[in-house]
Parts: sequence; structure tokens; C-alpha cells
Amino acid sequence: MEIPKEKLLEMYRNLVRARILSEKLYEVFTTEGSMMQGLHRGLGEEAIPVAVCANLKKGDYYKPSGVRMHPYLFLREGFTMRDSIASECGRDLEKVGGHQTYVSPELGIIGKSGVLGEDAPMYVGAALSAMVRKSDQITIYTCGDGTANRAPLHESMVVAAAWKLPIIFMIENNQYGMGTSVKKSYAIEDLSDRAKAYGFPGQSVDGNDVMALYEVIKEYTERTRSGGGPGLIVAETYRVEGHMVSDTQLYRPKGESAEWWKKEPLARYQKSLMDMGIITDKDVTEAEKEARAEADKAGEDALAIPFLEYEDYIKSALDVL
Amino acid sequence: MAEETRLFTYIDAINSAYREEMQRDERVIMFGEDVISMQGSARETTGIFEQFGPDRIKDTPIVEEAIVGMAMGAGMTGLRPIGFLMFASLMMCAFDQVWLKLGCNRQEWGYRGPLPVVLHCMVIGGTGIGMDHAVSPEALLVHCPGLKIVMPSTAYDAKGLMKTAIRDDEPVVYFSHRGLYFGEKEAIPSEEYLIPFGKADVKREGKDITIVSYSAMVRKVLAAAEELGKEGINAEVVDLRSLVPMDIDTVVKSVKKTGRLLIVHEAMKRGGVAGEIVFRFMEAAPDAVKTMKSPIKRLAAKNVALIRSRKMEPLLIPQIQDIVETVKGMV
Ligand SMILES: Cc1ncc(C[n+]2csc(CCOP(=O)(O)OP(=O)(O)O)c2C)c(N)n1
Ligand SMILES: [Mg+2]
Repeated sequence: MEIPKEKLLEMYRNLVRARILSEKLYEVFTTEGSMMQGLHRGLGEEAIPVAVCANLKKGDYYKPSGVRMHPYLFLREGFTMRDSIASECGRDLEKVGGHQTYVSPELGIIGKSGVLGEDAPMYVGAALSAMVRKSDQITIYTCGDGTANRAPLHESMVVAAAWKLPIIFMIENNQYGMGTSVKKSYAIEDLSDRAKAYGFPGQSVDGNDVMALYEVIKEYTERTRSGGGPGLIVAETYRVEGHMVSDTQLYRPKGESAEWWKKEPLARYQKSLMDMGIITDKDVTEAEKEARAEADKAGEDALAIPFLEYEDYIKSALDVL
Repeated sequence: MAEETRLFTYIDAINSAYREEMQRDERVIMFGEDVISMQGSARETTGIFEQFGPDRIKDTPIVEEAIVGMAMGAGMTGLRPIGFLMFASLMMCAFDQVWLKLGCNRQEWGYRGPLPVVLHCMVIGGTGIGMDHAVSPEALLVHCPGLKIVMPSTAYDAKGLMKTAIRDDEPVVYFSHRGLYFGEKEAIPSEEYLIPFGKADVKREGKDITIVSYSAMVRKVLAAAEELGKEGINAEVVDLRSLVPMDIDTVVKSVKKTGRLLIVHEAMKRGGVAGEIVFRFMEAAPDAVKTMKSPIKRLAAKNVALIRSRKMEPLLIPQIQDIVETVKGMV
């Protein structure tokens, strides 16, 4: 498949932006008074949302993986980096006329569950809704390798298959769920083998290779969009950092993370594009400079947004005490 | 007697209860997510793998329903399992297993044998982590016919109650509170002790008002009582320690002395355990109700979801100052 040059460039810029957001999130987390609740970063896993978003159409439903990938929703139309940072810090986007980053059905996200996997059936519901409404919207539900073992994922895949719903399940296999390696939580090597049991196609792909990801996701989304029913894509990547900032990572073999970092997606993609003659050193510098300016401004703007106020929030309660 | 006591944090105390009971009885096993690889959610299980090996403690995949269901099955077939559920909220994933299987079906099926299962999970209100982690679901379980429920507020109680839970032949849900884990150390006797369920502890004596609480909220109540003490109001603080069984006699005795009753908990007000406490009190001492010096009150979280916000969540849960002011309005 020939990926159009425009697409390649768009994904490049987005990958740079996503990486710089990863960095920015840490900076904001350590900024006094930001009130970010905690930080689970998706550093090194950014190629996945980038390649997904490059294949989505406006109106499609998309939930990024688990506890660490939601900030990359800024790649979708209607959201900005500022919105992601503000959401992580308990700010009230509505006060500045914005959307709630993690729940805006009109922008393709209907929530995320901290109790992992419990949101999967909701996204199957969104796919059902699109089918009943005869819309060509598709849904992509992503979760981690750990979460993929949960019961709601099983039920979701069962219904989606039985009803041929327009949903693609993606497992972001970063090799760990907290401290538990996939080697300990699975007895299969290729997680996409599971698709066969549900009766839809499944495939694993290098989740640190933007172009490979793009191609697989494109094939799957086209199939699903044209009525082919669900699919399962497993993106193989690696959680290069701890589960969260305070994680001591005693469970991780020494050197494993450094080995994987050699395969991180940005440097690889950058090199491929250079080899293909699509970008130059100057483009790289330019893209980084632009993204950094965007992130700096986003950080400032986000922290200037007021916190959600007690009175505003309490109004949402059922006032029936 | 410095030689006979050691200093323990709340979490050290739970860990030592685990070890002592696993040492004492080889039928005790435990499993849950990351109990080996990350030593539990906050070092509850440090050193247990090293001491007892892979048959006695196991890391599970992320499978909450299976953790509870397996504990029940293993408990009916000769073992004494501890199912570790990390956050109390995660129990919601296994609600059938907890509430119907463990809590009801065994009665309904006519199973009369032992069911020595402990489910241990953590409550973490007040850190802004949001409802999906911070919910304090004890009221839902108090409503269930067949579960014992324990919620300790000190290291001493945490250890003695965990040991009792592990030796109990009925299912016990044990809620530890993250806000207490790494607090000040307490002296704990080096000789073995157990704390029976259904025995409240008067954590502070007073004559003007009885404040009933449990879990981390006891600490806030005690701090409020200190402040009130400076203004000449003497609060008696009753820590229930276990909600099922509930020691209402201690509450009655205290209220007969003080003539006033306030109940404080971290969970939401509507349908919260405070309602149960008050009714149990009225049933146990209908006469005492008639001579009370002020109407009974409760302080609890607002009836809204705890939001994921470090700024907001503490506003939704009672704080020391709220307790002080409520008491002043009563005496
Ligand atoms: C149902 C449930 N069980 C456990 C947890 C605690 N927890 C939070 S993140 C996590 C690991 C998730 O692993 P994975 O799905 O692989 O996502 P990753 O963190 O690797 O992105 C766990 C166990 C939770 N939030 N929800
Ligand atoms: Mg993972």
C-alpha cells in the first residue's frame, strides 16, 4: 500500500506533538499548584493514537487505552492539548466554552472507566447505536494487555461478533499491567489469536511502527465501515516507564526498558521518512519547535482555567435528600 | 516496656498479621493483582512471597470476578484464602461473586460448612482520585445477609482484626484505609493478640456528646474532639471497628451517659451506615431516645459522585472543621 505523502507528514507532525505532550504532562505534574491527580504516562506508546486518529472520520467513536492514553485525544478534531492538560488537572473546561475531554459524545468519546474494562460495553453500545441509526460511524475501543483479560471485554466481543457491530477492539500490548508481565498473565504468545474464538479477524502489528500500524488500521476500519463487522488489532509496544511516577519497578528485568527504547516510534519514523526523502533535518527542527510552542501555550492556558467549583458540581447531584 | 512492644505503621501491622497467620496455618493462601510483583497496592504484601513461596501467594491477571469466586471455591474445599482486591471500588466488578455467591447463595444452597474467606481491599477517600477508586462501599455490603465487615482505624486494631478475620469461618470483607497506611507508628505488643469482631472501642472518653465513627474518619473525629476539648466540650469517641457484627451496646452505654449522638462516616449520606446505626440504637434503647438532649445527627459525604479532582474531592467528604461545627450546634 502506498501511503500518501500528506498522510505521512500529518502523522509525523502528530507524533512529534504527541511526544512533546508526553513531556509536557510530566512538567505540569511537577508544577506546584497544577493539582494534577497523578501521572501515568504513555511515553513511547504515542504511535498508536496517532495512527488510529489518522484513520478516523469525524463522528467516529474512539476510546484510547486504559489509564495512560487519553490525553492523546487532542489529536481528534474538537480537542486541543490545552483540553487534555486541563482535564488531567481538574479544571472546568466549560467555563471557557470548551468540551469535557473525556466525555463528549458529539466528539466521539463517551467516557472512560477507572475501573478498567468496564467501559467496553458502552462502546459496543455506541457501535450498536451507529448501526441502528444507519450511520457509517465506526467505533475503536482500545485497552491494555492487562485490561483485555477482564470479563466485560469478553462479553463485549461476544455481542459485537454475534450482531456484527461496527467496532474494532484494539489491545495496546505494552507488555505489562502494573507489575505483571504479559508472560505471566497469558498462556498465548499472540494476543490476537483470541479473535478467532469470537469469530472475527484479528492481527498483531508492531505498535512502534507508524506506517505498519496505519496500514493495518486502515484495512480494518475500511472493512468494518463497509459492514464487515468487528475486528481485533493488537499493537505490540512497551511501557518504557513505571506504571506511574512513584513506581519502583522492581519487577522489571534490568536493561529491558533500554532495549525497547531503541525501538521507540518517533526516532524510527523520523529516520524512515528521511530515508524516503520526505523530511529533512530542517523539517524535524521546525516540527519540534512548533510542537513545543503549542505545548507551552497549552500548558499555560490550561493552568489558567479555573477549577471546577463546588457549587457548580453539587448542582449535578440528584437533589432528593 | 520498650522490649515488649514494637513500632508499627498501620500497613506494617496488616502485613505482620498476614505473616503470623500464614505461618500458623498452612491452609492460608492469598492471591490478587500484583501482590507479588508490586507488593500489593501499597506494600500490604511485602516479603510474603519470599517467606512463603509460590503456592501460598499468587499474582493474578486483572480478573476481579475470578479472584472472589476462586476464594469461595478454595474456601469450600479446605483452604483459607485471602482475596486481595486492591481498591474497594474494584469489588464492584465482582458484585455477584461478593454479594450473591459469598453473601447469600451459600445460605440458600444449605451449605453449612465453613467458608473462611477474607476479601481485603483499600478505601482511599480524600485524595482526589475519583469515584472509580475512592468509593467507600460498606453500606452496600452491610445490607447483604452473610458478610462480616471490618474497618479498623489504628495499627493495633488493624492487626488484631486481620488475624481474627483470617481465623473466622465465615466470609469477611476487610477494608483498610489508604489515608492511615503510612501514618504515625504505634506501639504494638510483641505477644500475639486478637481482637474479636462486634466489640467497639471507646477511643476517647467524654461526657457531653457521643461521636460514633469507623475507619479513617475516627482520626478526624479524634482531632475534632481535641479542638472541642479546648473549648470545654468533652466528646466521647466510639470506634465501631466492625460494622457486621455491630456493637450497639457500647453506643447505647455511651449515649446514656452523654445524651447526644453524632455519627460520622466517609461514605455518602443517603443509605449510609449512619442510618443503620441510629435505628439499631433506637431499637436497643427506646427509652434513651426520649431523654436525649438534642436530636441525633449524621455527617457523611455529599450525595454526589466523588470527582476526580484533588481540589474538589476533599470538599465532598466531612473534614475536622465540619465535625467541630456540627458538635457545637448540638451542645
Ligand atoms: C478492574 C480494575 N482492576 C485493577 C485496576 C488497577 N489498575 C490500574 S492500571 C492497572 C494495569 C492495567 O494494565 P493494562 O491494561 O495493560 O494497561 P497499561 O497500564 O499497561 O496501559 C491496574 C491493574 C483497575 N483500575 N481496574
Ligand atoms: Mg499494559
